[in-house]
Amino acid sequence: MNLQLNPITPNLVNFRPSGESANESRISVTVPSQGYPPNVAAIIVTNIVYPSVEIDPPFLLEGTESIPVTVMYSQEPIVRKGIQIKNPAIHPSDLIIHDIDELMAGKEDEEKPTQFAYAYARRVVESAYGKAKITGTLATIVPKPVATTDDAGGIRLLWNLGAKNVRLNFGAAQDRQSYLYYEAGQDHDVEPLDEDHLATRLAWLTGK
Amino acid sequence: MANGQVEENLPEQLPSLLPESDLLRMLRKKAWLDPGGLSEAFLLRPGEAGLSVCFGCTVDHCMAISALNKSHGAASLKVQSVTALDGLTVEPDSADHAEIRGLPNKEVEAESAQAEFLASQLARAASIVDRTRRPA
Repeated sequence: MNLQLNPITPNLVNFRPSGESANESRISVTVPSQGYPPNVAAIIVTNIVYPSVEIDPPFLLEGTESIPVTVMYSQEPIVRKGIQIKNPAIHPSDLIIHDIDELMAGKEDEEKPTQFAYAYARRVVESAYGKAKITGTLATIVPKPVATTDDAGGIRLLWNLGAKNVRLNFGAAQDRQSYLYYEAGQDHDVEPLDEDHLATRLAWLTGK
Repeated sequence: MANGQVEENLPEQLPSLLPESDLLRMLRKKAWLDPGGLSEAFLLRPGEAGLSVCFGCTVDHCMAISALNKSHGAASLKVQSVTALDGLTVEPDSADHAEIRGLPNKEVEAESAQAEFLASQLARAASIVDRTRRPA
C-alpha cells in the first residue's frame, strides 16, 4: 500500500507506540480505500442516519410551524457535509411586510395603498419589531395582524389577541388621520403611530 | 291638505323596527370575515353619514338593494344591540333598508378612538351568518 497516496493509513499503519524500536515488526492492517474526503480521522460509520430535528426560528408566529431542518450525514459524521434548511428563519415582521407588499401589488377587494401609507407602514413595522427584538420585549408567539386598506388608500393593520386589540391606521396622506388604537374591554384610546408606541403595544398585547 | 285636496305623492310608509328585529350588514371585503377584521365592517367610509343595513330580506336581496357588485357574505345583529350603544340609532329609509346613525368618524381626530371602539362593540354584537362569495 502506498502510504503517500492513502491519507488514512498513516493513522493505522504508521501508528507506533512510544518505546517501540524501529526494528520491531509493524502492525499491518488492510484498510479499504476511504475515498473522499482525505485527511480525516478513520472513523467509519456503517449505518447512514438521516435524523430530523426541529429548530425553532427566533420567533414563532401563531399559526406557523417550527422549521424542519434535516441534517444529512454521509459516510463520516465527523465531516459535516452541510445543513439543509428548508425555510430560512422567518421573522414576524417579514410576514407583515409581505402582506403590506401584497396590498401594494394590488389585492382583491382592497384599494391600492398610497405611497405615503405604504412607506409609513413599512417603516414603523420594521423599526418596531427590530426594536422589540433587541430589547427582548416581543413575546415568542405574536399574532399575525389582518392587513387591509381603507377606501382612501390608507393601510390598516389589526391585531387581535383574546380581549385585546391593537389597530394601526396609516392615513393615505399627511393630512389624513394616522394613529394607533388599543383596546382591552372598556379601556381604549389612541396613541401616536410610531415604532416606539407600536413596540410597547405589541408587548402589552402579548402580555410581556 | 288645508284646501281639502289629497296629497298625491304621499311618502312611503316606513316600517317601524322592533328591538328584536334582525339587521343584515353586507361584508364587501374578505378580510372582514376574519375574527379580527369584522370591526372594519362597522367603520364609516368617507362621505357616509350612516352604515347601510337591511332588514326583513334575504342576503341576496340585501346585496341588490345595497348596490354592491360583489360581497363575501353578511353579518347579522339585533336592532337593540345597536341602540343600546351610546348615541346610535337605526333609521329606516325604505321598506327593507335602514342606516345606523350616530357613528363617529375615524378621520376626525377627536372621534377616532370612539369610532374604533363602537366598531368593536358592533362587531361583538354581530355574527357572520353568510360566507358566500357573490358573485360566485
